[in-house]
Amino acid sequence: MSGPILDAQGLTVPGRLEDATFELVRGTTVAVVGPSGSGKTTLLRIIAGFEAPVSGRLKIDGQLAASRGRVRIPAERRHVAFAFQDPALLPHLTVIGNVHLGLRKPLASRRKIAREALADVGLSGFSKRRVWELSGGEAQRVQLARVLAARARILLLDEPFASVDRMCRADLLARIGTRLKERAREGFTAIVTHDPADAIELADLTLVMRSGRVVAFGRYDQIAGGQFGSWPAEFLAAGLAGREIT
Amino acid sequence: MNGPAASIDSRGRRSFLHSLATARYARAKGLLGAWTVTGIALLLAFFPLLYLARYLWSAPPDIVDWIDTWANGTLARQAAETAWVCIVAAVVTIAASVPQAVAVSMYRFRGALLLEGAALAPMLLAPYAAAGAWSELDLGAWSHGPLAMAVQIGFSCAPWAYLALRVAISRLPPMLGEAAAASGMTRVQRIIRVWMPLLAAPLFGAAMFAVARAFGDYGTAARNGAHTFGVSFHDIWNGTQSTHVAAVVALIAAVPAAAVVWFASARATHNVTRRQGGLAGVASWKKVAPPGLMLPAVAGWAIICLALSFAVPEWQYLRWAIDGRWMGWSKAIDVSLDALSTSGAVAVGLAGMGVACALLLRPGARSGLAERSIWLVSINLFIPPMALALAWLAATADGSWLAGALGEARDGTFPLLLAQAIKLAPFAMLPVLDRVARENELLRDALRTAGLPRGAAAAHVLRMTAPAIALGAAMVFMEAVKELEIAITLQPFGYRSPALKIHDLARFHAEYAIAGWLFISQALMLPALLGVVAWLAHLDKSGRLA
Repeated sequence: MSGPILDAQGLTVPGRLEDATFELVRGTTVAVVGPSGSGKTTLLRIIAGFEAPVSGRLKIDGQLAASRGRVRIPAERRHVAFAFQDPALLPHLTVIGNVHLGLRKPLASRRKIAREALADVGLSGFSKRRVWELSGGEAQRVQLARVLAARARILLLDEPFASVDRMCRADLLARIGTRLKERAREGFTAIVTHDPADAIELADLTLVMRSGRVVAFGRYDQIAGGQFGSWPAEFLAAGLAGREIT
Repeated sequence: MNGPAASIDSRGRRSFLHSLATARYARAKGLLGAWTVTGIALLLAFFPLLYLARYLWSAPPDIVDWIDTWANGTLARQAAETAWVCIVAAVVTIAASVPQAVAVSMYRFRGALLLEGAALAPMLLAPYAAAGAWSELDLGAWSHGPLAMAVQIGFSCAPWAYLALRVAISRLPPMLGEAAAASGMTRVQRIIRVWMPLLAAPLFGAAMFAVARAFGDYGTAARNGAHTFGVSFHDIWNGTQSTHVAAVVALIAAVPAAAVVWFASARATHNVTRRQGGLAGVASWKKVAPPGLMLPAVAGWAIICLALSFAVPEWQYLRWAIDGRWMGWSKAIDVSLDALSTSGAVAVGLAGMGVACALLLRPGARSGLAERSIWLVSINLFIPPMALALAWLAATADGSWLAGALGEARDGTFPLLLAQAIKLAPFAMLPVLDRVARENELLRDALRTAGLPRGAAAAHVLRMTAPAIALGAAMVFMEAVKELEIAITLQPFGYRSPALKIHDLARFHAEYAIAGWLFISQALMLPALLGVVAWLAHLDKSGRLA
């Protein structure tokens, strides 16, 4: 199908998101960056179908998904894989059960896919562990494994590396960066991150948010070069230097 | 951020406001399920009280005379005695549960399971049965009278307090204590300034539970010769045969009860401590060895409590059973089946309400007023059970619309089942409400993005809440087996239960015959008690995700 895979026009949620407008073409990986409270998670939740914008409209693959306070296509029908900021792992399932949750295949196939996904995130051998036996970083990686296993066309990752240490993060990025791009071919991937370095490593495009507004959307080098104004460039530079600006 | 409505023209503003209204309507529609289950729960819970309230408006003069005589006569003495019994019962409940709960929840030692079993064993002994044993020992005020009643009620409530405290302590974020220690607080300071405020709610709840039990109890009070409200209410009912009396007593109890419960619901639905998978490795409570003489002290105290609450009366009954005569297997089985069917039906019915709550309430205490309102079912814990039973009698009297609607069911066990379910609903609902409030709301979103069909997603939700539902059902079952006051009033012709047998035989001080029925009731309750113990083991293992 031609046309953008995602078409957001004037998405507004009072107090959290204001007039967010952008388009994504098929196969794009976009990094959503911005200070805390800038509306990044709200934007992802609207794309996922958990919330509806009070005004504006969202189209996914040409179909109206949400508009004017109503979710038109519910989350369960959007073929989305979502990695939440807090690991959302079902406590009554083992790690492997959490990874292949929702796969509609025979059990043997589901387990095979899940084991491959766990290997991708460096958690081979964790299949039978229980959720309460995991550290924060391990839980986040299990969630990433679930996203990889889901084979969804839209991947939404909300701070997927927040609980992961730097060494592990570099290893993880090396492992899954290619996988995420492969998954995005039929749809798109959006990654919310505080760290602009993730935008460089993983994303084709960067979307910078501030106080609920989209202040820049384009290639990293364009934004960093000041094409969208000084603030977005300063924000990216400060993020790389390890400082936070608001 | 500037308000978006301010920057657009009037047509755009109307469109924006329309969208806002649509979003709010969608949210309200999403709460329809929550309000449905709340509405059903409150309708059932308040039906007796609402029915009794009618009678206040039509009290005939002679009833007013009865109440006036009571108020000018024995009321003051009964009020004083009831208050004293309530306070002592609350103190005993707290004292007999806190040390054991702290020890088992926080420390690792051999024999923890035994200590837990000792704390929970009194669940198998109804206070009116304990009263019978102690009265025969003839130890003065410790065997007979208000002090004995208060101690027996207190010990009977201690296992519930222990359960609530075990759960509350296991959910305390350990980093709070670590942060306090790092800031220089001593152990005593941490107990007073960090842990006690966090445990204030369950401690208060445990005390209120003992107060509620002592306030409305009749069986234990009668056995001890105490003159508390439960006895006077029963005597007035016998004297007046009047629903108006029931109305006055019940509604006087309901007002403070509603205030207490509403306050408790605020604490329970705000600032809920949530435990999420993935934090266990960072924040799990590693049990350590108990310090110094703590273990011998707690163990000694637990042995004393076990002896007074369970072992001594149980030993008495064992001796009587040995010396007595077996009632016969046929009679034993018939009575057991009656109790099993009614108690089981009450437990299953309330488990169904728990399932409805789990599916229809929003996780993370986000159902707002709908969720908080369900807590009001706890008001019936404070109403004398006989008042509740009498409300049902009046509501189903010959010629009433409810009698017509029920038909033949009115003369069966249905009124008994419903009245017991209303009284015991808090035991089933509160664990589920607590579990749903603590659930990570993102889990439901995760199920949606997994694309699971509604049924499969609901199955996952029920699997998460199943332990809480099972705990509630086990507690309801045990309480229903022991329940006496409602059974006395609403038992249909031919219905029998071990509790009723014990009560009937107690009037003749036939302890040799009572013993057999007591052991039968304990055999019926034992599997449920073992279920509670298993649930606590799961709580410890699961990092408090149960």
